[in-house]
Amino acid sequence: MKYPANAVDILLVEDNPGDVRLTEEALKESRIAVNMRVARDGIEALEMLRGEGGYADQSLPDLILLDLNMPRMDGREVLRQIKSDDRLKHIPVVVLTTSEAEKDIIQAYGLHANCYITKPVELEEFMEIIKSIEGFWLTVVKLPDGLGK
Amino acid sequence: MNAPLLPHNSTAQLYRNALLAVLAWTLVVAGSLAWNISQQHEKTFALAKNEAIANINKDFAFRQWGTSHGGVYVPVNPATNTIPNPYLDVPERDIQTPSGRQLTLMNPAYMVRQMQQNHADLFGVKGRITSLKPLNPNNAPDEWENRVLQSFDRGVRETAELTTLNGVPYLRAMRAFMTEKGCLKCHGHQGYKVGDVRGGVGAYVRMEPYLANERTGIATLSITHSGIWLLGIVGIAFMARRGARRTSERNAFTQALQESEERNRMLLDSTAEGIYGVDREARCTFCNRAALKMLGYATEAEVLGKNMHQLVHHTLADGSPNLMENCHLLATLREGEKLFVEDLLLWRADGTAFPADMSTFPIRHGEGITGAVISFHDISERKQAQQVLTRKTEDLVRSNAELEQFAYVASHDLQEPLRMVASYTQLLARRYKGQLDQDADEFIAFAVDGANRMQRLINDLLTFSRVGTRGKPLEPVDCNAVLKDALENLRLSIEETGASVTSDPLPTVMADTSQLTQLFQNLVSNAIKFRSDQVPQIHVSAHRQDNEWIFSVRDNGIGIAPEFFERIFVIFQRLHTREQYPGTGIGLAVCKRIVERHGGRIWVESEPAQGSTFNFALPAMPEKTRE
Repeated sequence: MKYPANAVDILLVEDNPGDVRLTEEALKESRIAVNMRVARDGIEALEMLRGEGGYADQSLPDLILLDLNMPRMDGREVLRQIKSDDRLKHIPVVVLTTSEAEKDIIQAYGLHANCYITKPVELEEFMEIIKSIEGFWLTVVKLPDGLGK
Repeated sequence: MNAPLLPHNSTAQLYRNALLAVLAWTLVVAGSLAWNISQQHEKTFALAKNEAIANINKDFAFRQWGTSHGGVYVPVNPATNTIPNPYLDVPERDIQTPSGRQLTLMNPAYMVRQMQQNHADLFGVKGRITSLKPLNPNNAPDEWENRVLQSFDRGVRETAELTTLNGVPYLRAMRAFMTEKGCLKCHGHQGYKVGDVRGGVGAYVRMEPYLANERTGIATLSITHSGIWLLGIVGIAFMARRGARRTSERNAFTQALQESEERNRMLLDSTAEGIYGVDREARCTFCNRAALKMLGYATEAEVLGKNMHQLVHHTLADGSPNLMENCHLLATLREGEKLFVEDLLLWRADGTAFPADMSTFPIRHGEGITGAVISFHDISERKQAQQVLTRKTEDLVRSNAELEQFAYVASHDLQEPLRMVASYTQLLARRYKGQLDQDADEFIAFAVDGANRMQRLINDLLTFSRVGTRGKPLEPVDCNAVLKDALENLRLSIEETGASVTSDPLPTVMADTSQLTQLFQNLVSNAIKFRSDQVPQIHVSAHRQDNEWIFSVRDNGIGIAPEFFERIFVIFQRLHTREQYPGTGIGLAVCKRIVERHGGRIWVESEPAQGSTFNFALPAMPEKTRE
């Protein structure tokens, strides 16, 4: 796959198609060009990141949006593996989940999540959050350039 | 058991013994008196006899003297009854002195007789001289003399007897006199030979002086004996009385002891607590009925003297032997410590066992420990009940936890699909509002509203379940600060409604700060929400009542009818339509849950249109930890 040079790569790890679509809809209203790939569980996400299975030729994303509760392999394990993998650990991981549990928040930061965001119920709020993520991580923040690309 | 002593038997025995003692004493004293009197008699007799004998001896001497001289010539003097003896037939019986005085030979018997008759008054004793063959018939023996003289022929030589003469008591005595050579001068012709019994010399002694003496003696004896007897009787009576008193005291003591024993026994047997006693070697000294029943014995005799440790406490719960030297109960016997042991195993006679609580109490005599009293009771039922209770409590705790977990998980998991419903209906509204027909817009609006309300319900349910699952440890919390925070959270609605919220100084209590804040916030918020037409006036106060602080949040709102006092604290119970007052009906349910988690209670006092006062009680902190 080829993307415009200024396009930003985002990997969304999310098992709920509704959320995937909502995220896509929110990004559609984005000002920046975004390439979003979707992994439907943790195993698929790691395969994509490590170029395994059918994803041999894929480059690394600029940002990972990670859900916590997923089948097969949950987001916590994915996070742990990403952050202990020298090739992957520089990629910012935004945990985007429904869980408000203190335990989950502490654990996520303990596994070096870059930030933890609870999915709001209101569509407007969700849209705002996606826009803020975009605005902060893809505009404000200076990310390492060209690593793995 | 001791046979009961019968007091009256013992007393009767005592009186019988006393009576026997009186009889014996009387016999002894009477015997002594009789013996003394008889001695007195004998003495009297002997004295009288001595006198008689002395008299007789004197007569003898006198007669012998006469005989040795062959008689005495005396002047004839009829005035003194001295005349020639007509019965004396001897030559020269009557002679004449050269001066012509008539002399006659007075033979010895005549001499003696004359002296006896003429001078008896000098002696007070009448003498007699007689013979079976008297020369003078006047001198013939009387009946008594005759009998005695005859006895002399048979070899008797002396006789003394008491007799009477004309009704006057006399002692008569007579001694035999033998024929001597001189006698034959006068009596030779009668055929006597020397050595034959010639006759007897007798004497009468008047007994009266002796008897008078004797009577005096007997009177003295009687008096002294009576005195001694009386003394003895008084002594016996005294002893008997003392004995009776002692007996009655002993009887009373025995009876008291017996009653006390019976009372103790009754007490022992009436209690449901098993009680037994042991001596120093742990041998059973007594065992009450409850203990026997629990241990499976029919009678006390089956356990008395047995080593109770080996009998009922020989094996531990794990089946290993309970060694006597390790037994903590026996430590009481060694160290004299009172002990209470919970839940140990006691063995019945049939080899089964039961759990019991046991207390031991040492018995001390002076310095030493002489044994112990052990009491116990079967705790099988209590243990069973405890186990049931523990199981039920565990079940309840588990089901509560499961319920909380369920509520949490359910509401959490509901969030996901609900978010989809809400998000996509909102997305529909955002993208297609005004582009479809009016019906579509309305349908979308209802769907959005439903989804929103569902969202609030789930959030409230989460809040409610979090009171239990997300609670923090209780710590001292200043309620003034907590109220301030709560009012700060409500600042907007307070300003909007112009409500006046006042408060008294509040105490410090043990609480979870955020929950206590929520509690005040919910109550004040309700007071504002359910305001009447007036401007809301809300007052928060607290007062101490025993070990609790009673907090009150008073308002001037719409009030509540009494029939709803309970219902308002139940989750999702609402008294008004959503159009009147928005809300899910969670606020007071959360308040109740928070208060109960703090060990308190919550209630309301109200009348419709008169305002409400919500009270809640929280335990006061112990004095020492209060500043």
